[in-house]
Amino acid sequence: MIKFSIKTIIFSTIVFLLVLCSGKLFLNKSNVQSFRSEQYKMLKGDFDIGFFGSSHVFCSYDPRVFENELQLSAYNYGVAAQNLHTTLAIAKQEIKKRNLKLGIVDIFWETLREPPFSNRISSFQLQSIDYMDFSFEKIQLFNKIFGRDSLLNIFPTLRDHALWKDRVFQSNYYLKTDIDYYKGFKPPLYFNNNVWKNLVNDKKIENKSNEIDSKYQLSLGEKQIIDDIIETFKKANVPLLFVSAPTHKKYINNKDFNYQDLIKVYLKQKGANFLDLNDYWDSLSLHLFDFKDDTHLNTNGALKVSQHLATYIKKNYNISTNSSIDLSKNRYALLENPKKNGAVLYKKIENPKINKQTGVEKLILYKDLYGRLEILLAGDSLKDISIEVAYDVATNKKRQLGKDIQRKIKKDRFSVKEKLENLKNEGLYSGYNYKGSEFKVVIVDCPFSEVRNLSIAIGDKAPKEIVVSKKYLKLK
Amino acid sequence: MLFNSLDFAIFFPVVFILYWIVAQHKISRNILLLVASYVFYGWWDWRFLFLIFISSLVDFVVGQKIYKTENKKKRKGFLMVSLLVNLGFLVYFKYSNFFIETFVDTFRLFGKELEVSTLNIILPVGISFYTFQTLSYTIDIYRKQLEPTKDVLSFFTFVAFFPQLVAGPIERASHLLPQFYKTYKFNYNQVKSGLLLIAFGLFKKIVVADRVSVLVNQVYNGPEAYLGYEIILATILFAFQIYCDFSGYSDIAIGVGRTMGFDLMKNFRSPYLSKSITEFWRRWHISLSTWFRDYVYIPLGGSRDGKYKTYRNLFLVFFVSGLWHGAAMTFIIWGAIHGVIIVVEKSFSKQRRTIAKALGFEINTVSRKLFYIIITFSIVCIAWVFFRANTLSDAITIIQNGFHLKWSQVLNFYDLGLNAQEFWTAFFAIVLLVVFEWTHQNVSFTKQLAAQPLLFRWCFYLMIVFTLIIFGVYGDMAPKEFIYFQF
Repeated sequence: MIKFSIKTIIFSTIVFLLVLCSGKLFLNKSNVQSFRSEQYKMLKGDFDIGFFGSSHVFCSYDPRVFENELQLSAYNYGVAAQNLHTTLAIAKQEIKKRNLKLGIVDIFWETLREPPFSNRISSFQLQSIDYMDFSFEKIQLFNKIFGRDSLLNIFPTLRDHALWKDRVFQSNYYLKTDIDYYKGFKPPLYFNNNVWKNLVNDKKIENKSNEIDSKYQLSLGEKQIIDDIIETFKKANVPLLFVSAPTHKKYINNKDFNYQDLIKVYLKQKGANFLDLNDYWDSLSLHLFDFKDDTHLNTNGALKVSQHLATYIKKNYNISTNSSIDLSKNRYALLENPKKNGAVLYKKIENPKINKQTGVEKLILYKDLYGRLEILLAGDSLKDISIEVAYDVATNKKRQLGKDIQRKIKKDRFSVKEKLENLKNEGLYSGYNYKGSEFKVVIVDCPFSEVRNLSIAIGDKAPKEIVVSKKYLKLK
Repeated sequence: MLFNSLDFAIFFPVVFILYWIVAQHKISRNILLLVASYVFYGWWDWRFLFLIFISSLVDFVVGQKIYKTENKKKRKGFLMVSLLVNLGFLVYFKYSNFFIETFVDTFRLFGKELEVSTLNIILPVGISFYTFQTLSYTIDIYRKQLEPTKDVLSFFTFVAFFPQLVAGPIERASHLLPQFYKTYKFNYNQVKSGLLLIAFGLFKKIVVADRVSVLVNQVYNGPEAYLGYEIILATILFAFQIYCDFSGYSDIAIGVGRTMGFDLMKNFRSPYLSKSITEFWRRWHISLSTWFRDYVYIPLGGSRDGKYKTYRNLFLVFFVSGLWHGAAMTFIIWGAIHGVIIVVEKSFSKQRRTIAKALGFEINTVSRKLFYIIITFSIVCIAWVFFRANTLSDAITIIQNGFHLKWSQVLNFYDLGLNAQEFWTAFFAIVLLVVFEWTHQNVSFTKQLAAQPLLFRWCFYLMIVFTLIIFGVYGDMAPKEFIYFQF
């Protein structure tokens, strides 16, 4: 009996550990969350600031701005449709794991929904839960969202076992060149006029006017989850700031505004700090071009919001840190001081013709956090820019590349042509604005070390003038 | 409670641990088993526990009464009480609606419409199994082949013993009841062998049966839309579905019993490797066929009264067996087909050998065995059409459509509910199963495994567990119940 009991315990433990470890194989590797999780693990050390919440978070708060302006390390934990119940569990885990010094939790009506959720919202929570460490909190959260009967589904191996062929032999996530990835942050890089017009035409966004009962109050459950978050940070002695990322005021309905008021009143009552960035629409000069859609910002909008929030933190919180920050991958630090912060190439464009046609005065090349080549074109006032980046590709060994590059990987010369248009006809858009100078970004999705015989040509209508020509790129 | 459910995955280890804590104390052990069995059964619908309780009580008392009386009439009278109560429950719950419908249909044949509505009756799970089990007790006492037990607790536990309560094997009191009088010492090898058998049963159920059921259901639930090879494929897969479903349940039941020291009778011995229908019934649902042999065939006269009465008795046994399986004309025809084939086999056994010889199959060769196996399997499959079809007219449609053979139908196989991945998983699992059964007819796999080094054994156990986890059909989309629960 004793022999059997010991063997059963050992065998069950092995099975449990194998089920736990094999879970990774059954996760959707072509999903961005899988990629983010890999990158997260590669980031060693503590994070001073953690941003928690839904897609509003990963589209609004750019860790680069906080790192550059506050000299504090930051990580964006935002995951699509993340509910505050999930946020709380993740925050609990990360406060300890990454020794956070400030927690920023984005809150708005959708994040406050109480379980049971719809199937869609429930399955979105998996994008967070699947990447959490296995813990009692994770089990509790899973139970809350999916119920006791589905508890075994906490293990991806059991939940998605039927997809074994697809999952085990699945290719990894391809980084997209129109997404601005950085430590969990991932909004679209540019405003896309066509996307916006399609959204409006398909009535996926429309001028809403649904009103809620003015007598509506936050439910006990909604208040409870807010209280739990406040209590968690308080217990851990970590300052907490609630924020609400701006949504496009033309397309937002009254329900959202009423909810924001309710949240504001309740948080005030609880003595919690709350910064509703919707209140700063005018002072931030938010514009259609700052949005991806009616509720999400793009890099341009995120830059404005992040700068504002960084200033607010500087003014209201005194955070000391021991963590060292590597600014060589930080776009904003490189724009301010390219040489000091380790740009791979910094070039002043001294050709007056190009200066006049495009407004570009300096060009900065650097290796971004994901090993890609990023090109910054900066000047006082940028105009329409045509740019062509051409290079040979050495054999790729390390990272899954986009299919277009894979096709070219057999040492063909690869080139990317882009037209970085200003949208003056449509409004005011010209380029990103950071500390008084304008800049535009081109991302080359090829591992930096594999770029050979690089040449960059720019111009206004066509990329006529070669401004960079390099056999290979070397980090400084 | 289902063997392939999370509830049972919690229930069984708890019962198993408690069982071995009290195993040396007979009364406590039997109380635990009885409570566990009632919980197991009551998990579906606690109200039907009364049926088991009443059946147990009546047969316990009747058994005592029959034994104490020498008066033939009284003995018969007591037996009749047991038969009336047990078969009464069975007939009421299982056959009332069938008889009403048949009655109405018969009048309709003569142009008379009767306005009779069927009864709103729920069929208690496993009623056919425990009714037969408890009946064998009183009949054996009546025949003076068994002494009644005075141990009421053991008897109640015997009737309700949870591993085999709802789908057999249908145990005889002479075999199972004495096992409740004994206490058992923990036997490591026996427990291990029981667990292996449970794993094997689960493999049959959740890897094969539940997977192929998707394709079978699609074809059999809309037979007019399918032709030729699609029908043939669905029917062959149903043959494996029902075998894996039922024998899987039996394996789990025997395995669960074995882990607690009990020896339940073997219910299947690779039936699809049978070389005749007669042999098939010696290998398929053995506990039921022997029950019918002992309590129907022999009382009818068996083979004692000449050739023709033997044929009649054989046919009747299979006819009743069909009715036992389900209250529908399809089951009766299924039973009748088997009855007819067995009679034909008995009548033409010489001609059968002559035909095989004329075709060039020498005695005792693999090819001859294969020839017989294929013929037998084909007949079994044709009979399965009636067993599986939802109605008699569906069965006829399936048989008719089955003759419209076109090679292009093979291209539709992935459109029958199983994609390529699922289809080939099912295919390889069935091949694995057939090869395993073929090669282990006379070899004990447990002994083979025990002779291997520890590392190999543990890797094998892990492989079994992960085969079930990855290739098993479970979760929201999985079929919930074992087919034989309905009988």
